[in-house]
Amino acid sequence: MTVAADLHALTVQIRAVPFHSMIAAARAVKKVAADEGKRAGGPLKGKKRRALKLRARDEIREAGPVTNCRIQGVSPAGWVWVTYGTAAHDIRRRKKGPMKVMTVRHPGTRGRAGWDVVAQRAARIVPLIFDDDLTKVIGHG
Amino acid sequence: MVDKQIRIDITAKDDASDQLEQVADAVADVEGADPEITVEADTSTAESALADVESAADEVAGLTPEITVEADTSTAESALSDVEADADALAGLTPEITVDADTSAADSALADTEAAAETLTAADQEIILKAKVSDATAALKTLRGGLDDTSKKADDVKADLDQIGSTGGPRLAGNAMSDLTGPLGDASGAAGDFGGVLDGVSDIAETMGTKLGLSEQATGTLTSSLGLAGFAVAGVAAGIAYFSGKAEEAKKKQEELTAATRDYNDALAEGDYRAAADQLVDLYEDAFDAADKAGVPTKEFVDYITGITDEMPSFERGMQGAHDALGITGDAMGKMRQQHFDKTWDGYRSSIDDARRSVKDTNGIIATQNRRIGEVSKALGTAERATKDTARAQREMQRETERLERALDNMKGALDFDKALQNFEEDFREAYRKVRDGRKLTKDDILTLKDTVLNVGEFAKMHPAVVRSLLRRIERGDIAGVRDAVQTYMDTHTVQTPAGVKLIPGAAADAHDDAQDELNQFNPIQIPTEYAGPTGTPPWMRPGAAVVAAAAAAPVTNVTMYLPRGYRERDVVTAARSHARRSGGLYRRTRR
Repeated sequence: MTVAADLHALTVQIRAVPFHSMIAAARAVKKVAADEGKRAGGPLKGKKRRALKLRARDEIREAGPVTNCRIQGVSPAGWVWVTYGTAAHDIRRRKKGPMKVMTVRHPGTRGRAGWDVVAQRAARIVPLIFDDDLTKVIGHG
Repeated sequence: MVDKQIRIDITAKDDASDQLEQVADAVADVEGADPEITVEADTSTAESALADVESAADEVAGLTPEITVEADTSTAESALSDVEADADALAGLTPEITVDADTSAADSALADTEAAAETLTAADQEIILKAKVSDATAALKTLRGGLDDTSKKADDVKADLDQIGSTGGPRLAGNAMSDLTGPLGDASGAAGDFGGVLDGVSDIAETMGTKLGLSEQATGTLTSSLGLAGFAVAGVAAGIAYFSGKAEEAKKKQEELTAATRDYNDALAEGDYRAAADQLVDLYEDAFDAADKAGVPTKEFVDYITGITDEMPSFERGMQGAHDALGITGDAMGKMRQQHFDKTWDGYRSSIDDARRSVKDTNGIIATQNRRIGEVSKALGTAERATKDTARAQREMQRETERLERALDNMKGALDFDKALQNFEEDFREAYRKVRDGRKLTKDDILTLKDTVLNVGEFAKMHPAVVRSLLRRIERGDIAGVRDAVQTYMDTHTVQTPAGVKLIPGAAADAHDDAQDELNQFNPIQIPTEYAGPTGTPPWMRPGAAVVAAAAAAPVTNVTMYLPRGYRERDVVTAARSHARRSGGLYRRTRR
């Protein structure tokens, strides 16, 4: 095989790195989000007062040489509450019936920076994943 | 709200692949091109040099080669003339060989040979000495076999004693027997080494002193313990064998002689004269030849060498007849004949006498061996009896020791039981004093009471269910009831100590009576033996606290009260009262 053929094969492999590495990075960040969501503890919701399950989903798009990945926390409301907290608000004592007009005052909560931690951990992990894949393609570190 | 984004954007842009592809295309163009190389140089100088070389080669090819060698041959010619002159001189010579030799050494050797021939009779004495040494060696070998057997038997006895000792008794007898018979093995080894001494003088010279020391020690121990006095004699005989030269051959010869003589004696005893005759002829073939030459009849010869008769008259007559037949005169030739005659007939006589001595010595050796075998067997019997007596005494001592240990165990078990009962009485008396004085039993007190009840229950072989019941009663504070229950158990059950001896708990009964008197003195009111309080311990309450509360509290009646959910009174009592007012009664009625 000639040097030119080698270079062409290497070019093909390098072109594939962003998409495949992005998939691995998205998986890693989603795992980090689930971990941090479990640690932060989701807010209660529903009649049976069960905790929201905080996790994340991803969307990868390719546009020429650029590959974009957006990782979105779900549910966003739950992530907002555990990240930034809530302001003081009223809570109804009853959902139905004549007593539903009666409310209690909730002083609000302080956020626990849940999604910020996810972003920080992702900023450390994602470059390492890309470096690792590129090193495998090029063949030397 | 706009700033609060719950998302992460990751962007990866590939700028390298395009540039790399451009480089790859350029490289492909380079690889696809056809290279052409043009070199321009001035070759005129090289062409003129080549023309010079060609002309020189042509000149060399036209030459005719010629080689001339010049040498000086005068030296070689003069040397050849010298050789011819020497050859002529050698051809004119007359050869003559003269040998000068000194014959005095040969004469001296011949004289030595004659002297050696004359002193051959001294070798006969050496043969006799060898035979005696062989006798001693054979005796030593026999003794060694006996000693080995003795050592094996002693080892067997020691193994038996050790087996007895391994079942629990001390190993004193086995060790003592080992000490007693240890030198026996050493003596056997020393005797074997003496046999090995005969193999070679040089090998034994280094270790002879050590081996002699061992043999002396072994001899002393054996003489004092088993009475084998003959071993010292064997040791001396081995020393003689050490100083003799070719003793090994003599030893083998004597062994064969002894074995053959035994066969001869056995055949003679069984009446098999044919076999006896064969053995005798094989043994003393030389002597038979001498007797034949001397004209001695066979019966007379056999009677003489076997010791039946001490005279051999036919030999004297034959010698005289031969002497007369020679007609020896007094001249020089007559002296020579006389000398030859004397030498011949002395040889006949010495052969026959040697056979007679050999028969006598061999029979003596056999008698000595039989006597020593008898002595060793007797000594072995004595040692075996002594060993059996010692083993019997050892077994008896072991049984006595085990009996004593069992008695001590019984006494120790009884003492422990008494201690447990005493502790039981003291602990329960102290606990009762506390209850009587109105003090509460602490957690440590309860644990102490439980521990002492467990001890007594273990010694008295109480059923686990009984012990568990007693422990629960202690938790409920029924101190007097537990003590009475234990006393009742002791009175109604036959208590066995761990060592298997029946024990009458008299000390426990006395202690119980004293405690009862003291209790009656302090507290004349009858104490209820059963406590009617709540059973069990609530899970949210520590066990110690429950016991402390139950030990001194009055009976409590539980009332189940249902309060409305979400009551807002300060305490439960107030809420209960208000609830009772609303519901119309203190207790909730399920039906109206």
